[in-house]
Amino acid sequence: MYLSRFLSIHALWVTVSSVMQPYPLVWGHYDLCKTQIYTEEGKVWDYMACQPESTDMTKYLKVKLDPPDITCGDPPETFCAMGNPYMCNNECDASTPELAHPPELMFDFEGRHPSTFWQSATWKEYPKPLQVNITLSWSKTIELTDNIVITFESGRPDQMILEKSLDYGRTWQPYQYYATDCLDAFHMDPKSVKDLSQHTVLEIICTEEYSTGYTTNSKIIHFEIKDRFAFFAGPRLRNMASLYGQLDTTKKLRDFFTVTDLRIRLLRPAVGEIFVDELHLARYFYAISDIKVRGRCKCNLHATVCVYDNSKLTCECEHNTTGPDCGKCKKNYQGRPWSPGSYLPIPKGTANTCIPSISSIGNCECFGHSNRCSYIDLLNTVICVSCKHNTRGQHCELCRLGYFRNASAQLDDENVCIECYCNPLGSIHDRCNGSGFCECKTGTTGPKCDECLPGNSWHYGCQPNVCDNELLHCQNGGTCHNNVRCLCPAAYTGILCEKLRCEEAGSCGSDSGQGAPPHGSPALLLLTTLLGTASPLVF
Amino acid sequence: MGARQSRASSKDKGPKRMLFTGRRQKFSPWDDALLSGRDPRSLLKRGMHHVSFSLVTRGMTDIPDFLWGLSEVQKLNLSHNQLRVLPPEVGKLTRIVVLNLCGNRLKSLPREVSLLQCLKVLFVNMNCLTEVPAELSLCRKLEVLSLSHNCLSQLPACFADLSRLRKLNLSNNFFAHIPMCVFSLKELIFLHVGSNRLENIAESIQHLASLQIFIAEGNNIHSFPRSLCLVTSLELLNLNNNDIQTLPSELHLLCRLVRIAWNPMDKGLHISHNPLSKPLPELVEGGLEMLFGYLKDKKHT
Repeated sequence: MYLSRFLSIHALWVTVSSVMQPYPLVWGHYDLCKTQIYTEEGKVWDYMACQPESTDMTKYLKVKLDPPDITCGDPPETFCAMGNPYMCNNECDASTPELAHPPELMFDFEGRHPSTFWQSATWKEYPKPLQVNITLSWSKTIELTDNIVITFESGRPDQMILEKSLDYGRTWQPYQYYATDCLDAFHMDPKSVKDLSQHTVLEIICTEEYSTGYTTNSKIIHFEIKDRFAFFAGPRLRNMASLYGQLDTTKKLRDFFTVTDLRIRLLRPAVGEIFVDELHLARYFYAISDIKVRGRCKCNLHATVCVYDNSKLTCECEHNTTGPDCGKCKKNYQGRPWSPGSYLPIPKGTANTCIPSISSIGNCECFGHSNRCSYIDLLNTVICVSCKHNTRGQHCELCRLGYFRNASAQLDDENVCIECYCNPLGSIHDRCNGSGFCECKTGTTGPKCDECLPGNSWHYGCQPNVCDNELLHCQNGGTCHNNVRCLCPAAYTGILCEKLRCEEAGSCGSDSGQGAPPHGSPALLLLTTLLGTASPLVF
Repeated sequence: MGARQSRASSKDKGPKRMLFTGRRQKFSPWDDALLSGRDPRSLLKRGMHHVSFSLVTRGMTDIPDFLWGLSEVQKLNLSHNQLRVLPPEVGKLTRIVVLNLCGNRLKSLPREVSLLQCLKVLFVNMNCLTEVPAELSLCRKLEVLSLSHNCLSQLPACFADLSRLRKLNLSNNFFAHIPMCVFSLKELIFLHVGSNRLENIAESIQHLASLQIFIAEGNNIHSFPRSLCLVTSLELLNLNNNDIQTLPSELHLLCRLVRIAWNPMDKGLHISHNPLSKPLPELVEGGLEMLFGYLKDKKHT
């Protein structure tokens, strides 16, 4: 019997091994979500991590300018093109197609001559700053795969910030600062991507590399994605396994290259000299002929196709997942909690497929937070067991104590329960209500009990003020220190410096300035001797 | 692979709304006007300062004939097309003030330009001109003339008659000398002769008493003439990328050059990329005051 089983296992191993052999051909691309393999039981699906191909993402974005009327041409105006700053023969007129410079010209096919470009109004309102925000929105999480390249026709701005958002424009973080003088503009030392390393790759830098040199050949600004990849994958990106491994294990690194929106903040146009020439303000404006953004839809390694339908990008999910990012398990496939695919092990990665929910025990809905249920005979009902993601309840629909419901998440979201984070010094306990408000100790307030009510100060929790500058003044010139104690002048003591120090010692009098009498010491000795003598007498 | 239209979308009966598409095929305004029999004059735009008409970046090789009937036009923009010939009929547009022909393929201008008696601004840069007709000098009101990026090596002597010319751009041509007629243009404030084949600057440069900006970068100029120091109105003097070895001791007379400039747009003296041996390059980098002081001292020795 054992021999038979061994032979069976051996056959299986040989089969799997031979099937696996072709995989190096697709190494590093993750372009297949599943494939059929042959086993002793017949054909079965083998699931792999997979992702969409990298592509030009500018076809799928919406662009918004702020201020909305900042594009030149309404009213029509003349401007001085770069390279010809003293003889102005260029016109911008929004109502004439050939003279209009609308924002869509940043994304059209380049190859025409002259280039088509979006252009702002000129700086005719100097010294009021000429500032423009260009927001690119995808309404979808995307992963950047190549350098962002912006081509200017106006000279590269003297000051500019590239920003990103991961929450559809609700909050923004800087990606990189650009300036002719980083110290002056942003109080940052100038750096370039070459100054970074594996350990500092996430550092936000300011670069002067792209803002100097006002010549007609210097039009392009880069945000270097590939150079950052190269810290892990080698200078020619030949060691992609190392990069994928890092992306798998380091969420911050993965998030660094992930965006839903980009924003280009143009803060100061190319002036090209120390001072603005106020007699020729038509020379100062912004013009962009091309923006290149290359990436892919983020599908959590559960899809190879991303569909653009009704102006919306959506992953075509596999591995029994669903949602715009394949970020949750399909209904009836919540047999274990959702998780993203993994790039490891190379070359197929791990699919982390959603598996069917347990159907042998009637209605067992745990919203993906557990794959175990128990039947309670007494109540004739099924309940979820071992709820994960800080959930609890019959269907893992509640939050554990110390957590509260994330109102913007679905029940099956792995972030459905948020930790209360009650301040341990200010709270009675670590539990909070459904809105995340904690129960505070006396004198304490705020949703996390980390603020003090008036008359109290934070000192390992909120303590009633011993002194303050309103009702509890330190007296006699004392100063209040952290609302905890009065710092008194030398002559005074007491909680509020209300007492003379000599009163405390009982030595206030006409001779208080003098030292102790010279005979004081012998007297003390005498007293001690007498007490010592008295003891045996009493005894 | 990647993003693509889903099959379901083909079932939709409504038209697809694309975010950014190429310009739709449709008739241009003047095609519309002609096809419908409308008066082409309805295409003129009456702005605050000029009656203007534009046919920019149309890929035109010829100018439509109806244009010559628009005698009201004051500002005509035909830039960035593929025009090879400017017909003599242009002379009918006697009210033109601004004519922009830059970025075409013109090899010459017709003599009838002399009929444009109101012309103040003429851009013919980025064409294929090998000569300019003498008749252009009859446009006595001309103030701004750009002939840059052509194939010119000389100008007619009678250009000296353009007494109101204030800005002249001859850069990116084949001039071996600054034409003598240029030195008679007393009102000139801007002169750009960069990227030509100049080997020297004539002593007559001193006659341009109003010149504020003089750009001669990218030539093969061997010496900095003393007479240039007499043009005390200069605010920007660009001699970058030449073959100058010495600076004249009278340089300090150019008191409106407020600095040694390193940025092409900056006002001041641009003298980089020259084989300076006197004064020493380090002295130049020390700034204009140091340079002026050195030159003054040198003169006294």
